[in-house]
Amino acid sequence: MVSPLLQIEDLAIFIDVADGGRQPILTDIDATLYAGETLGIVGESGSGKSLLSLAIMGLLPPAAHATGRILLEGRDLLAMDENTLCTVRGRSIGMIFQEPLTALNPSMTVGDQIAEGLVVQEGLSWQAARREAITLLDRVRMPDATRLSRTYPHALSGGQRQRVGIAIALAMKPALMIADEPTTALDVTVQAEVLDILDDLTRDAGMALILVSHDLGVIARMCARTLVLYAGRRMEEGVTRDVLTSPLNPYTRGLLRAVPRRHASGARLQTIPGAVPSFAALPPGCCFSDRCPDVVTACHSGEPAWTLVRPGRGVRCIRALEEATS
Amino acid sequence: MSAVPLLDIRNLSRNYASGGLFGGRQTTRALDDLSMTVAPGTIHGIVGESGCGKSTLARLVMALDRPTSGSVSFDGEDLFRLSDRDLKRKRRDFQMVFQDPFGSLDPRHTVGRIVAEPLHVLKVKPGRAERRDRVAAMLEAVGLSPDHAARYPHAFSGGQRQRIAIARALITEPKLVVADEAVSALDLSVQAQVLNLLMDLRDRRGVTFLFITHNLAVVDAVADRVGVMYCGRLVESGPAQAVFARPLHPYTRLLADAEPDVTRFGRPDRPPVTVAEPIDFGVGCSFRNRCPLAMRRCATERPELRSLEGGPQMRDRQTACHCAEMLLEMNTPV
Amino acid sequence: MSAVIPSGTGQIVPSRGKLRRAVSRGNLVIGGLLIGLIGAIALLSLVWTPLPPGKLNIVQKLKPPLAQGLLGTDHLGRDLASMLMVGAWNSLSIAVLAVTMGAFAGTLIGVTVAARRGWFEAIMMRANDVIFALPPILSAMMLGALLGTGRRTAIIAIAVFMVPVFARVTASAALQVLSRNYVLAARGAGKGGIRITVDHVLPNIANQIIVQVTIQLGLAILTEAGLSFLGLGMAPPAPTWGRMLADAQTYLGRAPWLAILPGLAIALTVLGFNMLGDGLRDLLDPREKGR
Repeated sequence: MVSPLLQIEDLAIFIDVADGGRQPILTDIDATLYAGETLGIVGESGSGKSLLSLAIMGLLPPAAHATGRILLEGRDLLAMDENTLCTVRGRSIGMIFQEPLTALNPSMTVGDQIAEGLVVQEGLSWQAARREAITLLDRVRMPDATRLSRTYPHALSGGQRQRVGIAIALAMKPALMIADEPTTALDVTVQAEVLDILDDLTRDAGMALILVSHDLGVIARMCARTLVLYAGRRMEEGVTRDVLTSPLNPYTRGLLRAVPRRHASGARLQTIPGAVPSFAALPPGCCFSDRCPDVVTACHSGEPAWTLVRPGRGVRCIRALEEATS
Repeated sequence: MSAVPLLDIRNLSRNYASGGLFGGRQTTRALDDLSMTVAPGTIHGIVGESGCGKSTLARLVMALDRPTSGSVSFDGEDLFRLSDRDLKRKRRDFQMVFQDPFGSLDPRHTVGRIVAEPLHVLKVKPGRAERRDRVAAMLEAVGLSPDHAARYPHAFSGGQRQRIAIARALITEPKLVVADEAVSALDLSVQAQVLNLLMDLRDRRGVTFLFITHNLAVVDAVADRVGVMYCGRLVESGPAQAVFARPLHPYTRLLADAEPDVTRFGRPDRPPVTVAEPIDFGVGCSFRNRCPLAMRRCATERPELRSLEGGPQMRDRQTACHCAEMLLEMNTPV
Repeated sequence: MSAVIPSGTGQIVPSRGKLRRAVSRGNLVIGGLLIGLIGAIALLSLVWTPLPPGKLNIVQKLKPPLAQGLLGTDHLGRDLASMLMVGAWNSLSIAVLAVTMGAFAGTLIGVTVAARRGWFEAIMMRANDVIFALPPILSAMMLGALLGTGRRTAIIAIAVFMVPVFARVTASAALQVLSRNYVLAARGAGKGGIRITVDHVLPNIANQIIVQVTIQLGLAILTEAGLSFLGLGMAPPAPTWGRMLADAQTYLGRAPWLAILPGLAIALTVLGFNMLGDGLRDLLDPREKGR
């Protein structure tokens, strides 16, 4: 039995609010990820998905407090001091951000930015590290890598910057890569290429990938498993194809129906009424009960428990269980 | 589509000068000899990637910028030949909705004041009570409540803000609304609500939309016709569903293939996409460095928009590709 | 004031440190109290002072505080408390008038520069640089030669010095506002430059101007003191804090309070304005409100 690379157990995250209280954001998060696996985290804005990825990277803002455990290769990230966390972050976890330009240092050549990590963490000489940087840029299919490694971020296009971002994350050969909306700011053709690159890396290097996205198409393209978040709660989890073709939670169903696609001329798109509620104003009972088309009285009386309908397939919805048993 | 076009764009070009001080001055062609028409009461999609000139087109149609050459006729009048005064009067008939629902509403104005702003162009300015009534009616028409008028934009979510922006665009009962990436920043569930609202406005009030976006699926879902832009030129146009079902330009095809789809799982069976930066070559076809079909002719002769032979399905369709017939054969289901 | 989760947008903005917020509120309260107190004293001096500030009493000269009057007397036996009160009025009124004029002219130039750009911007901004390069003392000396020294000269010299500061702050803030889409929307609604400036630009940059005004008021107090110290401010015998300092120089060894008290008045006023400015900046920061 192989031990999991990443194991999140009963994670909850609270944020300090002005009146001195704590607002729960994420509740009851569990997830397991083995080496080489890909997990998609789907959610709309206000689902807590970005906070979850920050927590896994150990980059929670100071006002946030986490309970539970995040085990990476058996070691609890939440119990680590900042120094150990820095090493782990550098060596075991790589990160890719949505807007690569803000994640890059504008006054340093991209080659040096990739090399920097190698010098600091691996003790390479600058010369060797710069050579390695060019190899890495080649791996992320940067055209003309040698020349571009000597340029500054502002001279690159959005897609090229994101490739530099991936190369920086790759330099440490991380066991786990976390990509938070890595292609949202890119054009579709550039997005397709960046996704191809990430796909190759998980396949060839056995790297595990957590991809956070609001785009169900990107998740379908990239991830073997999918976790759907809503209002800081797991709504549904399972093999991506199952989740997206036979969703158990009405929220997932609603999301899928709202995906714009070709209709008979003039037909309307299906929608989920209302908007994502703020964390401070969730409805009583199930957090989706105020927008759910399938709501029944019982939905308001208590938060539905997370239930495994079969191994690897979980859902939070009392109606889904009724259907499963009937 | 025999109706008189509401919007008639002829040979529109817009150059931007850049550089100076050091190095030579460079001119960038944001729009290059673009011609198109938009029929009244339709949603006309414009698709393209960043830098293709679609936002420049929006600004020119809105007369917020002047072209280097060419003309935009709106409702029979050339916008750039109108006097400032006449243009201001004309503005009641075309309005715009922007991408960013956070930056397009003045945070210091109440929603009522924001929505009422375009009434400024009316010759006879409505009185206070009439303004309030019109704002209330408009807010209701976009699915908000009249008492929202007293609040400030920060109290609203992204989708609600975009509704406010749409209400502002509609208050003068314009014939044309230019929507530049109007739903791109919205969450999926909210995006669908706003798209339905646009279709309702088209059907019930006969509003025409120039709907500019990078998202093919969105255009496919709502647009009647679509134009695909690349490097400042229109490379394909036609009825939206036909264009995406059987593209007549390799760039349209590339876009359609690259777009993620919730029904396609795992890596698609296609050669890995390689992206060359779009280059404006000046001669020949701008797309040829990325085109799988490129041939010698493409480097020397610029393909102009043309119609293809081929019966009723080809009606109303145009492409700017020398090899469109080849593409058509490849696409035809056997 | 700093709730954490804006509804609907889903962005999670962590609240700022409690310490930081407490400091900022402290600034506002202490600065406001200081300025309020000094302002009240200045106003009071118009109707009442313990003794007429110009009244000489050579017999009782150079008395330490509490020995004669509340704060002692100067080398001519004038009541120091009364002089400080009148000085407060003189300093504050000059500073307020000068900053108001400077802010008005500077804001006008700033928004025009932002709206017009082009050659107008180039000329105005270079002119600003030139004025900025001249210390206000120097311009006061030149103006003094032209207009004679006095209250008017002091006000104009300080105001001229304030113009470029406000022009710059306003121009950069206005440019930011002008790049917003709601301005584009207003243009699309047929509004012209002046309407847009009045409707959209000014309301959105008012915060920054207000904060700048408080900070510049502190600077103006300091400059006015410097001018009268050099004899370029209001003509004697009108008491000003700056000239009280200058007069005190001679008696620094025998009567240090003559220098310390006006110095303290200047320092407290400048401090008060700066704290008020810092506090206002935090209070008016859009990130801190409207949640």
